[in-house]
Amino acid sequence: MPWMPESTEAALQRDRILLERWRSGAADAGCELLDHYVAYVRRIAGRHGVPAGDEFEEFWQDLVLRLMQQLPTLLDRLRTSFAGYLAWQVRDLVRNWRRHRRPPVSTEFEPEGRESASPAAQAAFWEALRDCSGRLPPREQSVFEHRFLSGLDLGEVATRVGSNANAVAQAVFRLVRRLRDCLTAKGFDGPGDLS
Amino acid sequence: MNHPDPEQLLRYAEGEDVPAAVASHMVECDQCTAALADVARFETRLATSSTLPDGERAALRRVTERLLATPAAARRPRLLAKLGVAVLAAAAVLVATLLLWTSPDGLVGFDVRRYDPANVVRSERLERFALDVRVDASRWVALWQLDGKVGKRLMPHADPLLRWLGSEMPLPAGPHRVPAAEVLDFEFPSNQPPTGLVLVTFEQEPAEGTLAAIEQMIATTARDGLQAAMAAKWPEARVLPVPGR
Repeated sequence: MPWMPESTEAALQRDRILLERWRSGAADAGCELLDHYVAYVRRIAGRHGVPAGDEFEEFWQDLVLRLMQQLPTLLDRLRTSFAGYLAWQVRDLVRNWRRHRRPPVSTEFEPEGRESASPAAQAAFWEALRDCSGRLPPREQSVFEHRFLSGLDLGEVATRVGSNANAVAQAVFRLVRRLRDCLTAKGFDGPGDLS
Repeated sequence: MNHPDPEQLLRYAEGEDVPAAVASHMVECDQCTAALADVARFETRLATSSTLPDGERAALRRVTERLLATPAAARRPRLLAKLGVAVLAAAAVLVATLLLWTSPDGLVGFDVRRYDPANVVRSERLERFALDVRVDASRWVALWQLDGKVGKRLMPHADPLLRWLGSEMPLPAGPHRVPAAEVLDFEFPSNQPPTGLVLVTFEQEPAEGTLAAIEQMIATTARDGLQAAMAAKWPEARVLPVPGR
């Protein structure tokens, strides 16, 4: 039984449908899909030192162009979630971006700004996540922050926590299970929650 | 059953290239599939729970809409490259053209086309430009935008996937559009147009060191002496003005 809300399962299915439509030529589907993830990209890029404003707009433009170029084969590459694929693309693009600029990386926990949809529910989710992640063993807590909040790849996380990529990957699977159980216990597992 | 390393599983999930054995394992292993599905749900939840100020979201939405307004460019970039001039003619308002003829070797001529994008909200006050480049022999092309003392490299692009902006390098002899498709055209705020462009053609793909040397020269040479200094070291270099409105 899935531990996340049905809305999350629906999001995975929605992404595939939007991608299919986008690939078939429906630009509005591509816009809708990317609109769901623009804040996520903004957060990861920000953690990697891409400033907000004009520079992020330029970064976003490059990312969209990159996805457009990959669109013909993107569905084949989408093995589990668009979010995971997108994170990989953002990391790769950031590496190129970094060659030219190297500002400091921010370390805040929660995303900034506000969302027009369900801001209170979003805030509740992040508060619950903060509490659950705080209960993780220290090593997994670091992996969680570097991997899921900062969007680092396995090798980069391994460097930060003094481990290797395979051990980090093991920690990822473990901490996801722990966070799943913790969030479920806090009630974040029902249909319609925090969608 | 021997399962792949956790590292390989996560790399597979993100779409990275992994050994064929990993992909075939995933087809038949419910356990690994379930483990990745757990991670995927978590990633999706985090991703869709991220927030952004409404104004910033709207601005980025406009960027996305503008880029996706030419879906053919995404699906068939090479075909569009061939049709680029026709697409540009249909979509753009040509406000100025600069035509220069140079030496008979390598770069033969070029037009700088500055235009108003047709699908941009007027209040954004953005303009774009593209070049029509003609070469009489196979050439690689590098381009910089001059903003005051800064030379911003436009091509080759920093992202390897966008490196030659849709063009097949080296450009064969003949006329070419740079970038290859309108969706990749160069953009600038109307109130801050580039002060010029530096176009350099090469017989061989330019090394990163060469590009860095050019950028160093741009950064350290007075604008009125830049053409002479560039041509002394790279004979096929041209410093171009950007046409006015």
